[in-house]
Amino acid sequence: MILCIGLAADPTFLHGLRALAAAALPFTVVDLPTLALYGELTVPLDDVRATVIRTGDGETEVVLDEVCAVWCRPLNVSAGAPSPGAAHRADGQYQALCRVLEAVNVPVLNPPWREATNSAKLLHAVALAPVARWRIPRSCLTNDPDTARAFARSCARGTIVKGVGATKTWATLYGSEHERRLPRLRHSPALLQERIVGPDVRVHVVADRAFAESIHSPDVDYRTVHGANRYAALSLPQAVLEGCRRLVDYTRVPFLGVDFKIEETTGDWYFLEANSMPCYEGYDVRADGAISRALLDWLTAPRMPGAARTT
Amino acid sequence: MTLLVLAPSDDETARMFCEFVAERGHRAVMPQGFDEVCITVTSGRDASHDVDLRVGGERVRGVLHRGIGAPVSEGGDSAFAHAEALAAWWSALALWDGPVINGATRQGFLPPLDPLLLTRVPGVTLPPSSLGRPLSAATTAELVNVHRERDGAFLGRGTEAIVSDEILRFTRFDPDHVRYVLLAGNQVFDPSGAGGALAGATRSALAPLLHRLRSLGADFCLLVIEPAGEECRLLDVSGLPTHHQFEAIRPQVFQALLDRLLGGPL
Repeated sequence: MILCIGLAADPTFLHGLRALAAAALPFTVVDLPTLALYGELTVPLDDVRATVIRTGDGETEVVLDEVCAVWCRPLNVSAGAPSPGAAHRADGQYQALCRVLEAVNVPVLNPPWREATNSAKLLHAVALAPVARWRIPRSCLTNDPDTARAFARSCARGTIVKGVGATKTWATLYGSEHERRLPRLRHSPALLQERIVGPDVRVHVVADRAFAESIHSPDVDYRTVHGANRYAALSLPQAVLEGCRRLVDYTRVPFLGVDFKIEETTGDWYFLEANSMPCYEGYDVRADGAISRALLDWLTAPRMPGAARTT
Repeated sequence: MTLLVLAPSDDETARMFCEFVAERGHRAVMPQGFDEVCITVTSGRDASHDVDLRVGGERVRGVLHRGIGAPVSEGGDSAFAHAEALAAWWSALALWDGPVINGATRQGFLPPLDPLLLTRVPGVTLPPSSLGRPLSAATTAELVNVHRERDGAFLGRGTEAIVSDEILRFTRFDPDHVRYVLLAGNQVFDPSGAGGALAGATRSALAPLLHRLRSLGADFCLLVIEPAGEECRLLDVSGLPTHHQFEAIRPQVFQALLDRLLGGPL
């Protein structure tokens, strides 16, 4: 049985559940807000496989020892809880589940805290790019207006401004408005990167399999555009494919959504980030379910006893 | 020579360390906002990188890292500003080549010290403990500690400490056998022992665990252990020891931290 942990309000989670149902695979679902409001979590810390999750619907009780794999997209929902008590339970359950999913000897796609650098964009890129032997855009994280201004002027094809952390911010093109606001940097740094002019690429990597699409957008940040982007399946250069596989091995995260830019004049690829909780459903639909099939193959793959454990 | 102490404003231990450093003729600054520091991290296309940390125009020589605390309020701008600050410090401290006590690494902003994962170190086990389900003492000599899982806060002992609306962590232990070990810089102390010296046998038994902690970037942490035969039960590891926990040997501990910060590579 596959244990699925996530939010019923998360379209990506629902997409995955539909794929499991369509494949007639046995699975059970833990919706985290429902667990916080009505459920119960018990973890014997000296034997985490004996962890019991009661979902609160009166029917479902999951013992981790009876699970063959876990698919999870956990989010800490405490900020949206209807009462302080529910918020505390949601927070505690989230922390506990993340600890358990890191420690338990069961295949987990993906262990939530495994690739922690997702929370710090520049560290993430600098730490992972050498593993895959990729380039990254020249970057500058600073709270010094003069340094930011000098960096922006050094970028011949423009400068991208974005947030430093994992909270979603839109990438924007540095211009007069940013220049005017530079003094505000003293109170909160920003991340500036040389602009790479050309299409974006999203590669979904599941263990050693990869599914790539190029994205041609009229805007700097394709995520802000609806209806005008052009998506096209893309065959990966061997070096990029091998880099993706190395990244999966290095991070010990089996499913990654890896973002690139391709410089249009040189054809050079630039690594942006590897998301360990990617929203892949749109790409999967366009790929006729290929990503879902790879995920299900990973979740149901026969494994040697103890093979899931990593140190 | 300027040291940076990254800590929330109410961190008394951090303030005491700043005073200690000042008494030794150095400068330690505990900034409470980015406007008090200048932080720049640059990287090239080949991921080569450079970090520049300055206070009042002076280069920082070393950092005592005790986190940035919690957001001022939940949600909205405060949570965003906190996440951005954390990410900026995380990138800077992890990529900086100067000495950082409790360094940020790829594995965490602060060293990840979950006893559940540290039991992978040979000779380290967990005591009887559970989350969510109350444990009771097995013998009259034993007690049960109760912690709050969401933030690790100690709530008390036994059933009296149980509160509703919280996920609780219960840990059974024998107080007569509990030992404290403080890792500070390159030194290891027994904060409850005379002079702070750690018994040789304990030091040897803990060597693999101390090695693991250092590999995680943890070089200022308090271990709570319960020797059990040839094994060591790990009750807790805190990466934020407070001065109350090593009051008797505070100067030695602060000196060990200072030595680490002054002795590390620049």
